[in-house]
Amino acid sequence: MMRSLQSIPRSWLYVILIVLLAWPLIKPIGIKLDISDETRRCYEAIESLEPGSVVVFGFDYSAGNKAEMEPQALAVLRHLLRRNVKVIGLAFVEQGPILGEQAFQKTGWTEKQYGVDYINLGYRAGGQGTVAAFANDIPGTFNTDISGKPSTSFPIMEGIKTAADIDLIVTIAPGTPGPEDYVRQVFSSYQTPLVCGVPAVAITQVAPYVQAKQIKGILGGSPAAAQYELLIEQPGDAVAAMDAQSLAHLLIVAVIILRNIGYLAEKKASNNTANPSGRGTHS
Amino acid sequence: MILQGKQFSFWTLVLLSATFIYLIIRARQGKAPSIRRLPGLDAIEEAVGRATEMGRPVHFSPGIVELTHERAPQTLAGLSVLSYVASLCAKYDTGLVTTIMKPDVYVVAEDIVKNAFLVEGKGERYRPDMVRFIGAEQFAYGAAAVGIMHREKVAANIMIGAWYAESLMVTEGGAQTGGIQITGSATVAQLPFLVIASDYCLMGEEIYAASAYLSKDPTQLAVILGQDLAKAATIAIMVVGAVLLAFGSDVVVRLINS
Amino acid sequence: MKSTVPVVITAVIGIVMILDFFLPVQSVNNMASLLQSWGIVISAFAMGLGAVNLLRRHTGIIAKGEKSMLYSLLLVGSMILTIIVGLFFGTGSKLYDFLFTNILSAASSTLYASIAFYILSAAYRAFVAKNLDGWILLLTGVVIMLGTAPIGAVISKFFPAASQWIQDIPNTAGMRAIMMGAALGVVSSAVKTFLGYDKSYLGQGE
Repeated sequence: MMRSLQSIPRSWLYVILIVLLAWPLIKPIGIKLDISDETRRCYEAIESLEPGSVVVFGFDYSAGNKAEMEPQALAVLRHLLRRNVKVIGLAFVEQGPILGEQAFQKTGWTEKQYGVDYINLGYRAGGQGTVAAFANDIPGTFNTDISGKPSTSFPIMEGIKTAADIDLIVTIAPGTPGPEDYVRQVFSSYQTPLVCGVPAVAITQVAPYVQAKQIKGILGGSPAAAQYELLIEQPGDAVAAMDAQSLAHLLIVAVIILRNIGYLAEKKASNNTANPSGRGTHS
Repeated sequence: MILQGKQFSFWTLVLLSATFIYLIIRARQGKAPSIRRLPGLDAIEEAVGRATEMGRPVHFSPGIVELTHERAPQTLAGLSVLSYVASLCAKYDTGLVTTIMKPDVYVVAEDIVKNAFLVEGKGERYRPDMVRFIGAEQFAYGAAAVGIMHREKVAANIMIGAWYAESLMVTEGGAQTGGIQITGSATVAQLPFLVIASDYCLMGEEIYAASAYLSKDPTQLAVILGQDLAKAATIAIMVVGAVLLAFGSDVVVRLINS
Repeated sequence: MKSTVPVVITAVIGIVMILDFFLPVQSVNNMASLLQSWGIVISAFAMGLGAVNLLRRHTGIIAKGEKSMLYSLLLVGSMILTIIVGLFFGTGSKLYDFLFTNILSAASSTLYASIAFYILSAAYRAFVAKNLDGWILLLTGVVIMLGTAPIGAVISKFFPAASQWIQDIPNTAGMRAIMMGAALGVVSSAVKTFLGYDKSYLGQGE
């Protein structure tokens, strides 16, 4: 019986996982959510911006990871809207511009004046090399906006030449180009403050840069998005997903424990078979 | 002349490059260093051998980034290993399926596999479907690679290159086929997934050592020695810096920031 | 000659880009900016190359009437549809947004979500305390699992605190070591490439 815990059919585990993920989304449990220091640091970096500051917002995620990254982008954009700053949206991944458009719409930025309060400069290919080009020459690298109009024809771009003219960069990036590229190509030359949102698995990869004070703060995965939603007092999709995540994590811990009980039971049984008297083999 | 704050980095890079070049010249004069064993690379021959015995193919992937990407060195490391794997497959008449996500890598990988078969004198056994281009969409690639591994019942899955969130999908999918898995990456965030789902995993700079290790080329081995010397120097700077900081001197920190 | 020219081009461009990072020399900076613009154009062409490659392969499958023809038809059809909508209605149009949100975004998110199942089965398969390494992996995994979900703090404040400590101290130390090693590996790869000892990017293998 115990040994069968070593071979629970995968399909059973998958069904249990689906139920545990779906149930709290339909009927929330309301597990209490603590705010981490990391999320608070990101919040404070944006809270400290003066009205009228210029923020570059990198929509560096794509449809595949939208579920994990978009809640972060929406929460930060809502906060930026409240701070009354100017936002220059841009992307170093192909699907970024359209996701940026959707994010601007969802957060109410489209009610502000396009080209004056916010702009979407679209996508530029080339990875880290293009991030370097952006740092040195923003209107040259992003010479048009998403609709193809010259970027310099918009009032928001007045006086914007290099990354030194930017008050804060926010990048929501699950991969590359992402925080590390901004640190190497932008922060190392211009020291522009940087806040980033990454998936939960990438926190450890970016954490050394936060400790070295090259990045002001990181938002890691859905939990950070949920915490940010609570900080700006606008609970959204991320808060709703936290109960599901908690139950899924509990399930994983439970199956690990069950598997190990099965393993230890098998080990004990095989020891008994090898040594039925139960006595030790050493004198 | 050199920008403030980048002087230490510049001179370090110059010193490092000079060391590499010196060691290469020395190696070409016949003083090639030896290199420690890398079980992950030793296991490749065993994996291909096992696939040969079972009459099943080997799956190979050089990661999901293009040659112009900042993580392209990982792709290049993967392509070096592909050359070796393709040679083994040609030698033992074993099937090979190389799945590729980026178009520029596809062209290069196709050339590498074709060349390997020609060099082994098995040009006629090379088939175009040994290298397959699967659209440039991360999860579509992951799903397709898992599907191919299951449908074609691969006996070995070798993945060396840069990976992102699809890494677990592909390696766990590979593990479910029951075949031997050898993976490698310098993308640190994905290493935990590769480690738990693979039989052997090459971590960080080990993948850059792969081509030297497999080719036994003295010049490439010399570069590996240079890497190890640089690592020793880095550790020394860290230890000296930490000790000096503990005694109240930030001279090393100032030097690095200079 | 066939491989010398690309190696020289690679080395010259690489060295210019490195010098641009370190030197405030206008001519070098201008040349680097120009090369960066070329890089952007080449990257855009690489995407076009990918599309052509994909189209060529799948139209070939359709023409030969292979078993997987249906999938190829679906791929070619959706590719042509997206190109037409993008070109004639614009990428900001409602129709393009509809295709993106309801097909690409939905399908991609579904595949991303499927990772949850792989995590579950990988954890079940791999987290077995067979030896000391297994115990360390298992206990660390459990602490991080509980520490990163809100339920962990509800069970005990130990979980988020321990999880944070593991991530900040041992994990960051390990990650830094791997990053430094990998960075040295990149420098060595660059030297090998610039000197022409590594030509794998030219499709020549070993």
